[in-house]
Amino acid sequence: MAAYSSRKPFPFARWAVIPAVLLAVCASGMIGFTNGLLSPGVRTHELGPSAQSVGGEGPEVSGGTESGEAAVQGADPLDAYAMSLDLLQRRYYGARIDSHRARTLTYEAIRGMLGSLRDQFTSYLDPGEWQQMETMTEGDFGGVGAFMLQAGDKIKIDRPMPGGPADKAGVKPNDILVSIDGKAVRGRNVDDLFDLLQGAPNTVVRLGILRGKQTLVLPVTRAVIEPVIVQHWMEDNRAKIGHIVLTEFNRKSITQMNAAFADLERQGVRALVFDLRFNPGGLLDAAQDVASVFIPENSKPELHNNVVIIHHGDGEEEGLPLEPEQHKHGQLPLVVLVNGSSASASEIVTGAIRDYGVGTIIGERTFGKGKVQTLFEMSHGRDGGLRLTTSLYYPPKHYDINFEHDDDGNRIPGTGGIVPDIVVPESTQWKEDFEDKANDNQLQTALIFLRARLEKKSMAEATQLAQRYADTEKPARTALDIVPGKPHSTTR
Amino acid sequence: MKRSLKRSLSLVFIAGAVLGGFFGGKMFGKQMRQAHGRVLAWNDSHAFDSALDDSNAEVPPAELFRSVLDKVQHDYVGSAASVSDARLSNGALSRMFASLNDPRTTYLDPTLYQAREEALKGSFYGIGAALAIVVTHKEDVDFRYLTVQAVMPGSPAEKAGLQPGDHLTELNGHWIIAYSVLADYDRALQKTRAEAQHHPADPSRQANHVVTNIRQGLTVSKALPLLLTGKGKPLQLTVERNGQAAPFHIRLTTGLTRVNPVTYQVLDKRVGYLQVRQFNAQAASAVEKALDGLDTDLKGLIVDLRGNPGGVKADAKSGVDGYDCALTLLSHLTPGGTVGILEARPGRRSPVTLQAVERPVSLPLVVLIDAGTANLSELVAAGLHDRRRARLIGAHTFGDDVLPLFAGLKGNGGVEIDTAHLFTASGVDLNRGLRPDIPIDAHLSDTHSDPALKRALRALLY
Repeated sequence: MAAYSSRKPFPFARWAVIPAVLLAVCASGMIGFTNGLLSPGVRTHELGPSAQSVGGEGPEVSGGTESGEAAVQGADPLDAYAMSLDLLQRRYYGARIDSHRARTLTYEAIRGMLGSLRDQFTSYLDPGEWQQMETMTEGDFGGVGAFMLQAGDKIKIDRPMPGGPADKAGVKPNDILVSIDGKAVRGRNVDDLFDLLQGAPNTVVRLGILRGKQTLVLPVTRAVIEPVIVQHWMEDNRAKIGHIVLTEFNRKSITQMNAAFADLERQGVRALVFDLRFNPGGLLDAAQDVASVFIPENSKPELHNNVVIIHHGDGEEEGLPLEPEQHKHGQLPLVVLVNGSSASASEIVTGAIRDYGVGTIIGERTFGKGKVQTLFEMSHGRDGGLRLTTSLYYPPKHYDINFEHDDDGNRIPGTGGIVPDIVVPESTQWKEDFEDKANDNQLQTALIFLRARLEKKSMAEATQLAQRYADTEKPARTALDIVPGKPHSTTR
Repeated sequence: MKRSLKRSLSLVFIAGAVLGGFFGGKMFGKQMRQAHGRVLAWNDSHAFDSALDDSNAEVPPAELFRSVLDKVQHDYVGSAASVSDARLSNGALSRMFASLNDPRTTYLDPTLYQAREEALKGSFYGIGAALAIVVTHKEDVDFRYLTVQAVMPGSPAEKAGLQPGDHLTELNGHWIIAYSVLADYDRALQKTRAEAQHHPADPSRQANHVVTNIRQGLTVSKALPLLLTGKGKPLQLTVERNGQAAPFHIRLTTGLTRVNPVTYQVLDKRVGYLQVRQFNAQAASAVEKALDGLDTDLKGLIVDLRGNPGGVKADAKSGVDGYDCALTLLSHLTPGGTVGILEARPGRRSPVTLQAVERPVSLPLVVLIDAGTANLSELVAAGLHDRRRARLIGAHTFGDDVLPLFAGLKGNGGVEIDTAHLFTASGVDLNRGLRPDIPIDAHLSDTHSDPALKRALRALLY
């Protein structure tokens, strides 16, 4: 009789088998997942064709990626660039393309690539320019004391600061800027040009100017420019209409604005002209704060208390909210004055005030820049950096204020920006100086409007009175002259 | 038994499930990586990732380009059309090549590349001429002109009277700006000052004049498509010609001109006449066909290189390589040896040495040349002349020593790169051109009589 050997009892209960197997499968699945996630070889381009001599095989491209993300028809910029550089390094008669030369050629290729975007706000800064920009934002620097505006395809020097370096050197309003230190400005990004104008105080920059039919080169000695951020007056002492000018949106803007507003309140202000003409923009949170001064919370539920909506590259959108603690001064009849040099953050505030219905916009169509740029450093600045448009922004009611441009990147006049409720072209008599009030027809229109409102006239009637005043002025300029400019605040 | 089988099967099953889990997970992980690849790729691009960057190591240029391309493709916000690969590629390459400031080294966008390729194969669109940028010096200033190198027979250019050497300075009233697009204002002003001496004008208006004309001008890259592509379009050109004091205008309508690269016939029953209009693959086989087994009873052979703008160095498979064709022609007409010199870099020269074919032509030779004989044609003429193999009859040649390398960029257009300079076997730079042994004062468009050809026949028959 065979004896049955006794087996060791199974160490785990039978019911535990299936869960154990499942656990093992899950564990191995996770290990596999991690392996797949980290495995290299996806999304790499092989750089440089295998060396081929002409007369044999043609230059080859080892393209295509594992991910199958291969672009349409082989039109891959990286391959084209790499092949071209390789051909130049191996076959070019004119110069030896050493590593330094290859680098500068690559900077040019990058410039060309960005130039094809036809976005005047996107550019590449080479190491020298990047260095200059960094010095400017960090330390004390000098400016020339003049705005630069994009007027059509010309760069116009606008409003040299009285007594400032440009003024002392003989720069006059409406001079056309043609070159900076001998380098032509044509086709260059205005932000970059602005950076070239800045520099250490007491250094000289040579501005090539076209004035009418004359060409001049003016040496301008840079000096530290003290910024005036806010100016204010009780513009009409009888009707108690105040006037606050904000020149840019920076860290000091909100405190200076509140101080100005408080001072006007002490004088019994009953209506306000808020002047954003020539304000080129600035910090986003400054715009949030300033808009919040005028806009109360929860006044229009459908706008969700958004000051502005930011649209990111990946399609995501976020709303930036009102700051209710800034709304300290109550609600007054309000006019916002704008012109073609009101840009960016100025347009955010104008758009918000308009969309929440707390003010009337008077003046000229604004600049039309609803784009945010991000700076990207390359190799710690040793290879310069990028200035890239990375988000768009929309006013609370979500419409696009960016201007349109043609195939060459030139702005199409009459597109973009915020069109005022009452359009008043700037009078040719006005010296574009806030002190020159008699000739400032836009300001006068605003005062007429606000006086009518204070006299309890209806919106329609007040608008009509103001418009009639604006229209009886001599025609300010021809349509061709009203070209929105890209302003630059010198006041930093 | 049953139990152990059951157990084995269970083990196999469990093992299979576990392995399946592993590979399934791996596939899923790969998918995830591909979907979010751009995020990971950003971390891969060393140029932007400061944390990983070894602060002393230099980032390779290609990595810089790739990083920027990546940023533009994923972080830039603009209209979808503007971020197309084709536009980015075009923009990058145009500017990169323009920065070399070398009129003979240039990027060709897909349209121009195709037109150039077809022209090299004998189909000329546009005005039907070969053009090049030529540099001259005037009053200490470098002037660059878009210049006619050769005029194709039957072309709109020929009908309008354009000649080799003509400078095209305006197209439809716009300045053709042949200097580098990166030239600065000062240089442009210099040019205008020199030009203004032709036109007595108020000096203070010069600068304004310059600014206006540059703004409205056409760079070469904008002018060439209008001149070298398409058909049926009327154009007005302003031309400056040596020997004529003032510029003049011509009007023409673009068209398609087909050029037969090689023709051969026997003249007067006694002299062979081989006309080679272009150097390319088709010409090479036609030359071989004409010269292999050439009748040895002929009194002589005339090789007509008038109006032949030469050719390029290119991939053998492309059909447009002219260099080998030129060598083929030479190898049929000479007993081998050094026929010229190629300088691949300034100072680095090497001889062009040929092995002749089995039975090269040994008949007396005359080569016909004129102002439209350029580049490889000049190399051939010099190669035959220097060895006293042939006499040159006609007019002084163009004087173009640049051998261009022509290459496509696989869907991104192509490039033409100055890859070598051409010299005669005795070391004379071909940019001087060649003088004829027997000068004749006439050019190819004179269809009713051909004095140069007559003179060549006389030389061989009498």
